Amino acid sequence: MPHTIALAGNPNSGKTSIFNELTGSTQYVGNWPGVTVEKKEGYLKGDKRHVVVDLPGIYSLSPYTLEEVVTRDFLLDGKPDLIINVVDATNLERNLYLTTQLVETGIPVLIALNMMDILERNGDTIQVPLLSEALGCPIIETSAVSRAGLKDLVKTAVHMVDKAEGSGKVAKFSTPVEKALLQIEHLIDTLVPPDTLRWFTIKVFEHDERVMQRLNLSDQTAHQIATIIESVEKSMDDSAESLITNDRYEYLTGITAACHKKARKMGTLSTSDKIDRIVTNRWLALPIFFAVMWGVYFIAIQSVGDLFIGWIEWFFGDLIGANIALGLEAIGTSAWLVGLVVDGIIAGVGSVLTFVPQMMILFFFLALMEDCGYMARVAFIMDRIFRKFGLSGKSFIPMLIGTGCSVPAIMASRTIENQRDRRMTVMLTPFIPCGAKLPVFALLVGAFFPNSAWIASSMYLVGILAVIVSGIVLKKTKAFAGDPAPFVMELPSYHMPRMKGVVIHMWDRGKQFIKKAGTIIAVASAAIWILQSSSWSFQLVDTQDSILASIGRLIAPIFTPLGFGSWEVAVATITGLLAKETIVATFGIVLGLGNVAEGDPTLLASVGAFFNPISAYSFMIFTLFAAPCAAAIGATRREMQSAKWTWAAILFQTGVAYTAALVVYQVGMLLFGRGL
Amino acid sequence: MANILVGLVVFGALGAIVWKMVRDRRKGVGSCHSGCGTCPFACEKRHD
Repeated sequence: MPHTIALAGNPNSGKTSIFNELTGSTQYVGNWPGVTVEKKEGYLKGDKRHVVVDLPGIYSLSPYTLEEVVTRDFLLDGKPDLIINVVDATNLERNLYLTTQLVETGIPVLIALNMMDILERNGDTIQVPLLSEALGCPIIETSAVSRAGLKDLVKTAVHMVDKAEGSGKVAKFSTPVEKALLQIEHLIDTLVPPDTLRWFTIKVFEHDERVMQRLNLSDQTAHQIATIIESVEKSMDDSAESLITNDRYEYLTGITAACHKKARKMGTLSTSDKIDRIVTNRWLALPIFFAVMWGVYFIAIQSVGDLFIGWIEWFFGDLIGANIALGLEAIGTSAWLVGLVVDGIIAGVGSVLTFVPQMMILFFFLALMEDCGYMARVAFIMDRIFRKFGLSGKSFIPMLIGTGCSVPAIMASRTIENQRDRRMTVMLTPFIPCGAKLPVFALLVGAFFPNSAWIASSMYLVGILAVIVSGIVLKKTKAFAGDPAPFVMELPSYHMPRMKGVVIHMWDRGKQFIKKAGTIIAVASAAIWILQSSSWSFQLVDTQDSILASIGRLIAPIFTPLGFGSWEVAVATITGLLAKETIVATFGIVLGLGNVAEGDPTLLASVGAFFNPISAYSFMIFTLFAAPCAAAIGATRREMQSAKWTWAAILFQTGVAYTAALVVYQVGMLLFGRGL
Repeated sequence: MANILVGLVVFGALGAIVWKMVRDRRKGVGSCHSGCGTCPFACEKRHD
């Protein structure tokens, strides 16, 4: 039976970075709080005797958030052999608040004093031996980024587990509180194990509902406890929970005053503060954000990313496609089978993979923005805007994750405690353009707006606007009315991005895109080709007489008012429900786009038969808002836990998509239609 | 003969992909294609 080592600490203190270093994993490390929601496990590198568990970041062991509940349930019921408490050395006092609570669980605590490199750079000092003595816990100075101290951390952790060393010193509270705790201890000491008695006693004193339910106290004991607490609250003129909080901070202030010396005087600004004065400025914040996104799209789609497209098209079209076609024909393969392989599977997969360089560059910049700390500022800026319209800022964290993929973004909504806000976030998160929608935008931008990077980046602006407008409308309905949930977020200091982490992040996202092209897109491409080459009696026919054409013609009139009423585009909107990239694969097969590059007149000629610039933008808007892919719908169903709400979300999203695309096309044609 | 061989390879590969997708979905990992490395949330199945 392996020993368990739990990693616990404040959000954004570097737990997942340390977890990755200790276990050799490549778990997602985000530079904003709340990245880890569920616990993650892994063996200590090269040591199957010790399992390391990465717990969600928390500020205390209160039961108010999902992260706190997950962590404390694991500490109490999972009974780890050791807690490695990751402490951000640059925010010592606040981080140690949790430490005092961890010590009370009776589990041995080893402190990893992380971000020591930043602390030293700031000119601050911590007298580690003195701090260790005061807390009664061993402390190892670490830096997860430079890996400093991690070997010592592992060595000490293994030693502590093997020797089953005891817990640290518990915080001492004011005399009236200590007296009350002693009385409560006597009343519950038969109900809990002796090593966790202190923790349970404090939680009972704090009126912790979950703990009270767990202890299943008799009416008499509950009454006695209530009398004890009431008496202290009356004499101290404060609530029991506040008394504990104040006493803890007083205890910690005493410790940190002796151990922690700050170089910077109170009131002076750090470099991060100075940058934030501009970046989060009331008037400049949004223009800066959109300028940054424009720059990212310009590099990813218009300039650098575009350089590689020709190569990939040559690879799939001229090298792979043409040679496989020659080879198959040479061995006497039927024309339909050659068509299925070359014009179906290779053209479909190739048309999607064409956009890999652009995707990779976009993911690289998004990872860079996140790692340096800018994305956390974006959440802060959006919180300010969201709250004005009655939305919770908590909703924006899932939306930030949604820039990669809507599935984890929808799952991220489970951190929102308020059910109304959570449901609304699940419904609105897919409005933020995910990576899979990028190839659709890139294709149409390449054909109709080759020199306008703002067209693709405007999808973010339009997405955020739709979230705000939808939020305002939904909040007026009975199902979503109510005050938004409070959102507290800590802004991490800016730092130089860690290239390894950024590249891993980029590759992880890109890899899944490539994997999808080789699986779901390949199968969908084959199916689309068969459907566009066969009649209902499964005879090979011209595309115009195919099954796909007859299905497309049936639904095409629905899209005529939106400007894309041809059957070819209509079927693409339906195949997009499988995965959004399938839209591009469908165009690749049905419109025969497999071999044309951005800016190529052939691309415009092929796509131009089905769109004009206004209907192309209307189609982009429809793709942005319409019901997401099957995987995201599945995630919606899981998080909503209701088929009714899932259907409501799908209908709402598709309704918004239809209305927005209709307005764009009709107004666009009214204003600019004459020149087209 | 060539048709049979090529057909076997092509439809065999497509069948294998579909079979794997269905199997993954039953296991609970196929419903999410974002990749566990990228995803900040441990899937329910990954705890088992």
